[in-house]
Amino acid sequence: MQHIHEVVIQMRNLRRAFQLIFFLLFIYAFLLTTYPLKSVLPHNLFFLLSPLSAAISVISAHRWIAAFFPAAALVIFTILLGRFFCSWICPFGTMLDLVHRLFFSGAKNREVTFISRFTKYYILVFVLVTSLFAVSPGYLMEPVTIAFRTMTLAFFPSIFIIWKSLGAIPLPGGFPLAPSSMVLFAGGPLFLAVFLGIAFLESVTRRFWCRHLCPMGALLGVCSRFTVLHKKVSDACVECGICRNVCRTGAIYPGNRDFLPSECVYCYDCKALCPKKAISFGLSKPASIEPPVGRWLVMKDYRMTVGNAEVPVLSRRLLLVSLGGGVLWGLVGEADYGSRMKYSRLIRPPGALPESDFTSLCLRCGECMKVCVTNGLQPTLMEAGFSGMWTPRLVPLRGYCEENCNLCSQVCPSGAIRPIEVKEKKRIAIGKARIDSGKCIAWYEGLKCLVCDEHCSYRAIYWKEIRGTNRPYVDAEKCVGCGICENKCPTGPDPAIVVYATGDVMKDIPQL
Amino acid sequence: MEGDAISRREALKKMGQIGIAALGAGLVPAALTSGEAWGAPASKVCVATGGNMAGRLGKLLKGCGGIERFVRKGSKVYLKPNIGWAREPQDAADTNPDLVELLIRLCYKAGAKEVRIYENTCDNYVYCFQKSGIKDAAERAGAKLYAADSKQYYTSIKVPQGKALKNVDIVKYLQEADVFINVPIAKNHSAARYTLGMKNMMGVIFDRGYWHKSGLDQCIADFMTVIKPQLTIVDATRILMTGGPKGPGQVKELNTLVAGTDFVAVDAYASTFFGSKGVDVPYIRLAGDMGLGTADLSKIKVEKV
Repeated sequence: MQHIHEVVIQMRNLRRAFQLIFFLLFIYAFLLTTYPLKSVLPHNLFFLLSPLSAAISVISAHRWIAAFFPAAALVIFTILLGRFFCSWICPFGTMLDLVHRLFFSGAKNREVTFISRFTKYYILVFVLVTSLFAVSPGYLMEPVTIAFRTMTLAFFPSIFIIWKSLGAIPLPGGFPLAPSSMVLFAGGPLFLAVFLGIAFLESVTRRFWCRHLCPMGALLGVCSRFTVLHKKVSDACVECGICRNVCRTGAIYPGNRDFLPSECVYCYDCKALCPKKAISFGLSKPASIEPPVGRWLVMKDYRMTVGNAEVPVLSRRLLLVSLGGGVLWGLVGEADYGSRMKYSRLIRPPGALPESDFTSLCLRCGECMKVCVTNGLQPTLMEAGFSGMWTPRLVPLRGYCEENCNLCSQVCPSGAIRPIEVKEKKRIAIGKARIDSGKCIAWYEGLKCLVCDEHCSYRAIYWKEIRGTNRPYVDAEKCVGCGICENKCPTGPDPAIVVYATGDVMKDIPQL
Repeated sequence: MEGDAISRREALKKMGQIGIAALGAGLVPAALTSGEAWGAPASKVCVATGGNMAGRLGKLLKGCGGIERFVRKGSKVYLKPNIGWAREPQDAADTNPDLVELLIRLCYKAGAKEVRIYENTCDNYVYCFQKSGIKDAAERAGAKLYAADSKQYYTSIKVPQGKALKNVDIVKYLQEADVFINVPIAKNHSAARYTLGMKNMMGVIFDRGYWHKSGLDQCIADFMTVIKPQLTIVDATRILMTGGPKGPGQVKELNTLVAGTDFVAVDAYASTFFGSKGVDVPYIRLAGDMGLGTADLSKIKVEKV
């Protein structure tokens, strides 16, 4: 039977090339997610490719989201060709490989027994079930999201400082890395800690996250069950065990000739490193020499004996536990008072869906926070309640909403910030400004100020001369809550004019 | 004794002659020396109206003695247009980009080594530079454009004659440049009444909020005791009559340019476009009182070119 991979190009090198290209593409897309946001490919391409992001978003929205067509295409390719995404495309996987190579290359590639392969399936079920309810903690577990969010919130502020000190070389097109004078994000160390926690698991075994925890890996693993690409081990195999040691996801388990197809990420390391050239991947069905470990066994007890080894299998009982747990978590989340409280300083970007839909759909990916030209979009901790954690809010003291900008609505992959034109954006009130005349230096001290009026793009401040000084008032009809007044008020750090959120953020959808 | 005595008439005649000679001696060198003598006793302001921008600017600069009077060969030029706001040219919130481009080219033609523009914008600088058209204008004409949005661009100086302003952070390049040309746009201003040349100086300092908290008008005048542009050209091609300094507001097309070396006189004259008398604008009056220039319109010579 012809093996389609018996070609001059080593598959492993092809994989390495693709892995590098996709990682560079990821970094490139990340760096270019800023003003003016012009490129051939969409900046949030990796999110649109992610079937897990698609699944969470689609289930949360209760409708298909057209932007996620690339993810659907990836699923079809995975069904045919296996779980190659994890070693060819996934940026988080590449980051973990880098961490392993740099810091933990000495660690033995061993099988972990305190947690099974199937834990990630239980996590997947949990994530998908909770998506049906208010908020899914899927954002915590989706790898592309973790990668981008970590890059943005933990690393980008430092990258910006380094870029500036190296002379601020412009990006292609002559634009800066970020248009604000400094990039800061609230709680950077927290996001770094999440990443480091997962990265540190590499010291236990290679690609620990991908083997045991990643719900995307689980989802793709399910899809790859039907793959036409099969691994075959010929009789030349002398059971030296080299392939088993190099296999990054431990798919060669429990014996040297055994194979778990849903764990294999098609990196082709085993094939390249087999000293007897006994491994091949092809279309032909493997000979029955391989025991049917990869078969999906859903049994009451979750162990099975293969040869001399006891291997875990997908357990029906634990699946039900994760399903039930997801329902419980979802119900409790619906009752989260914090997210229904409508904290008055929780200002959402223009174009954001009504609050409950917003926190459902928001992937906490960090795209909008990265692209915000004034660095005003910051991650929440508890301001939106527990269910709203890590969603973006506008902090006018840090950065206001620039009048001519709609970049956040352009990059949001799930549509939590729906795409809007600048013309429409200018008519959406995300909040209203209020003046505290006890703090305003014009009101309280009779000084010549009116900086708020100077900067207001919407002419929403008017003034009257009272006792020899011009004193400002807010015209609530015109104010959209952009926050430039609060940002520029010289009375700071406690500004005399402050923007308050307007309840269920979308005032009305104007007639255009 | 009698031979030495001078009659009263003769004495008066002699005194008159000496007086005239002294006056002449004072005036002639003053007329011959370039520029500085304009400050006393009458200030001169040039005004050009009509035609296209290039023609207008040409006539204006000729009336001021030519760009070569200010920009010598090898000069480093700091050009300061108003690029504070994310507005387009027709909104009359920033200096006209054609004016900026022409000026840059003229500076290079006069032999300038480099022309730089530093602006501490009010809105986000990428939108200011892009929408005003000045980013493209500077690129085409070969000037370097900087957003002075962080402390690294600034150095601290003292203001010894300042009454409200004692020290201030200014753009470092002010100390490196040989020539400082101020190119503001004439606008109505909510707090300061009008923003012309002197108000435009708030784009070369770091902490504008301090001036608002310490007495805005006095700080504007105080600043001019330490930083003096050699030439001020007020862009009154389109002026903003209401809603300034950012707009949107009522735009009036005047197709005029005003220039002079006395920045107080230029501001006083330009304020008349809005119906002002110069001295009723507090910072103009204060600057005049501090002897920084002539604020009294009756003492300003207006040369229409």
